[in-house]
Amino acid sequence: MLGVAQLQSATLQHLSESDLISKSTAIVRGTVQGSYAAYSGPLIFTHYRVQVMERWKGPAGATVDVAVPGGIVNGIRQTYSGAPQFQPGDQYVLFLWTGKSGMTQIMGFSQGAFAVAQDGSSDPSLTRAASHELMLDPVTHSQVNDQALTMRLSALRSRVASALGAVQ
Amino acid sequence: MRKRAIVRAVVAVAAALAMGAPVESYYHYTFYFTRSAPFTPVRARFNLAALTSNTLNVFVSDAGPVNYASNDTFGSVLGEVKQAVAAWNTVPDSALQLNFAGLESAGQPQQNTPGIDVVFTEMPPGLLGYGSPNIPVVPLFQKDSNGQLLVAIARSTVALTNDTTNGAGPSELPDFFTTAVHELGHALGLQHTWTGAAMSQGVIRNTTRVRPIDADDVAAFSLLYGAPNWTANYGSISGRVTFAAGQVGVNLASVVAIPAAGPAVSALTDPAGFYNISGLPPGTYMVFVHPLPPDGFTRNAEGLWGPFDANGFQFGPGASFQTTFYPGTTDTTAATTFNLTAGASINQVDFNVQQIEATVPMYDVITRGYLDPSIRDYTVNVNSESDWMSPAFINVNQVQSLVETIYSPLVVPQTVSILGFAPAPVCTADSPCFEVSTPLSALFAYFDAPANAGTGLRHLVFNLNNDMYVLPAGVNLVDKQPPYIDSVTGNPDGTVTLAGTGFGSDSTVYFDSLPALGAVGGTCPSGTSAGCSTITVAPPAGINRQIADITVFNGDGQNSLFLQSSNIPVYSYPAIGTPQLQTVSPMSLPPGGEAMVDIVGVNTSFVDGQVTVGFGTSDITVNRVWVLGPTHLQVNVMVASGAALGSSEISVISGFQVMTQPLAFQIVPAIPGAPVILAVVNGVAGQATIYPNAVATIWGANLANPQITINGEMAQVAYSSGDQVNVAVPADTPTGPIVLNLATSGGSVSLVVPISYAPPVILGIAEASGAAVNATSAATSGDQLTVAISGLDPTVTLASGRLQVEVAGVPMPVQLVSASQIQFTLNQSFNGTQVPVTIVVDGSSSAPFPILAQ
Repeated sequence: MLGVAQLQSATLQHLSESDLISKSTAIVRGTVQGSYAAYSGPLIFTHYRVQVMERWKGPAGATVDVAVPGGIVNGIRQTYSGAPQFQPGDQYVLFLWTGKSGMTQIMGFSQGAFAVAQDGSSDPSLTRAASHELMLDPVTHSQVNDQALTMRLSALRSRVASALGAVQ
Repeated sequence: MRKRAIVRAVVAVAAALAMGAPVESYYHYTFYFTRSAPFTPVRARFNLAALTSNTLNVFVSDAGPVNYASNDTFGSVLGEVKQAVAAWNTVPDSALQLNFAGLESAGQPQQNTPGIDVVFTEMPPGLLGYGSPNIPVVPLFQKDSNGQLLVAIARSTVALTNDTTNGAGPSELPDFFTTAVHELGHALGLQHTWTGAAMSQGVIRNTTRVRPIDADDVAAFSLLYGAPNWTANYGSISGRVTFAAGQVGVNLASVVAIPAAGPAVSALTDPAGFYNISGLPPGTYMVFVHPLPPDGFTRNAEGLWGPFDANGFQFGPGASFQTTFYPGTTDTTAATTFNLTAGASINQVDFNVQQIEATVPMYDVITRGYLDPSIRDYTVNVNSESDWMSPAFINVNQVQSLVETIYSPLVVPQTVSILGFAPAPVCTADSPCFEVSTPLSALFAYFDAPANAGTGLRHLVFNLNNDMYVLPAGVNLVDKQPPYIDSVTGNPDGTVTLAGTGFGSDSTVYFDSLPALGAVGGTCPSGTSAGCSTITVAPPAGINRQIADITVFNGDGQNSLFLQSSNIPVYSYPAIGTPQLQTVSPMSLPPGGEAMVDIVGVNTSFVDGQVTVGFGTSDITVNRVWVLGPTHLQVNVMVASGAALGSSEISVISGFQVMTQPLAFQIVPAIPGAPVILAVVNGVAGQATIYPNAVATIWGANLANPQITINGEMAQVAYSSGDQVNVAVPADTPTGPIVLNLATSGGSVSLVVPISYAPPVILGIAEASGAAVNATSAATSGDQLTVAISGLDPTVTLASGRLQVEVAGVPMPVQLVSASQIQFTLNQSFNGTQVPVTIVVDGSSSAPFPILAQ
């Protein structure tokens, strides 16, 4: 069988931490439980079922369906790189955005997915690799580089709470 | 049973290819038959045999963006997509024709002909667009009509944001356009390159509206869709990359052929380390090899997809190694240069590379240049008022220029050079010009452009002690300031005048996404090669009170947004009625054959060259559109023989005007016995046009015993059978598009036929002395001859490239074309034989005039 790999075929806009927090409709820490793929118009999305462990922003709910472009349906594959790919059991902090269609997606592809190290720590580290898709500055529309981020879960939780508190 | 037959065919094909096929490994979606050498790539691409007239239709969903940025319109969005499609049509020697096919309904039922769908979809913040071919999970190897193997792409999808208030929008900004070009490249079967081009990933995409694709894109596209002889105009360089410790080939090494100036072209090695860079424009090249950056290939996230073997197992990249120029040097001045001519191949350009344990020290570098708004020119004194653009530009007329490079991870190079320039002194960490304020590195390098530096793309070379990094197309050299628009003024005649600086004869004015009419190449007054202060253009057809952003793009890549991105001048269109379609006739056609559709609009401004007509399904291909007036079109369409029956959307797009009739057109079952026209050609083989008094041959089905009218006049049928009719074109038929109607007892069908001037008549030929040249009076090689003619299409004198003079079928250089005479040089000896002279216009030849040629 072919492995499911991703193509680098996306164009992104750089999101700051402030953008991630303020423009997201939900921020959760959760564990991936499973997935399925389905068409939405001509596009294939893989829907991940995420068991919510913590919710820092957004409406309550024990699980959330997170749609990521790409996947395999009826023997046809669409792959869009930069889209994060999850495995069951993986734990993430996800910055999510739900549009008018009701579909929930990750902010800026991999920009909104922070992997939680499952090392047994009460305050595990979070990492987000730099995206190497073509990324544009939101103001100048020129190309910019992304950068990797690493921090403790408690630190991100605190920064999100602080930012949301400032907004409120 | 069927599956077994396919497997046998694949094995047979694999055996045949293993015996001698050239190894080429570009950045496509690639499969190999086996996991051992020799490796023959099979690439995913559209199968031209499945298309109508080798034409791939690109449709845009009629469910356009939900939210538009200020002043943005659906017409502007469509204009960007239309031009992105046109960009890939500029590839020379392509067998594939891309066609912007207008709109399709979101719920369009089945289409049996391959195509590309552009959709607008809800995207979260931070995401602008993405594209992908639909590839079967289990590859099915097929042969195309030329016997070449492929994995067929049945359909591809490009997704763009449905909210142009975010991200790359509004659509008139160049990001939207370059994103569309890039994602269409994926839809066509291209992955990424690390050589600056439209398909670049993580490195500079040094393309613009005026240069939307580059040599690397052309090479990659041509490998998928080049006409059978496309390689004749290009050279190739091939070799192998192995690790120095042995003969182990390096998989997925990027080998780059790079000229001192101009675009580079690259290819990736196959699993045995072999590479072949084809599609190289003739010129002088150095060759270097570099490893993919860490993000270039990752198994479960970003990076190249594949290559895979026939069983679906992926080939991983080789270990990382030091970048090196041939023949194994990091000193570019010691690199071998290869002079490459058209059709030539240089082989065995082999590399032995040194494996490194550490990660690639430098990659994904971008560059910036800075502008001082007060002088509207580049500056080395960066402050908070400075504007920046990426990639960097240098004005070679300035004493010193600044290029900022930004990259990660942090590494301090020993030197930074522009290939062919003296290295710039590098600021160090204790120097005020080196910033380490963030995890990203920013390095400011100051260059003195040498005399006669020229203009165009240049390449940055970073010396990293025992390693190096090369950034193709990292800098763009220019010899003037970027354009700046001071004012935009509408004129009483409907034209618009721009005043400003940095304009030149290479300036193109854009109204939102569309170029103004007459703006390309020379709206500056004559004698102002250094530039001019005003440009007057005709705006594209607009909609009621549309407010269009005005930008100027110069051929050197600079544009007015460099200095005016936050304050873009606008033009307000006048009030006009709502354009709409009044009649479309006929509104249904059966599968198979070509037919005419007549379209009349209201409040429309149809302009030749600006109109797109679509029928909402890739089973219908528009062959040609004729603009008969501001409200009247005639269109020839071809309905695929295997077309799916059903309804589809009619759309007409003219400038920014968009007119649709959803599900208004139907493909209906064929009526048994009804005539079908497949083609109308000149009955004389080799004559490419149809003209008065010619005999036209109509090919099709059910054609016997027809009555034919041409431009409403009954025409004489010289011969008819079921699949062929020969008909005389009346002598008084006017030139231009006319309607041919063919009626039989089974029905009738109409078609638009372009009527041309008859080829000119050669009255006589004379030497420069005036002496006649004919079948008995000889001309000598080197003679300049004058051909007296009559009946030449008067428009040919304005476009002399449409005319050739041939002697015994050999084209001769033409010096002069006028209504009554043509001058050419007999540049070849024919050893005193009698040879025919012919004048060929638009592919149709005059009667021969025999001469004696020494």
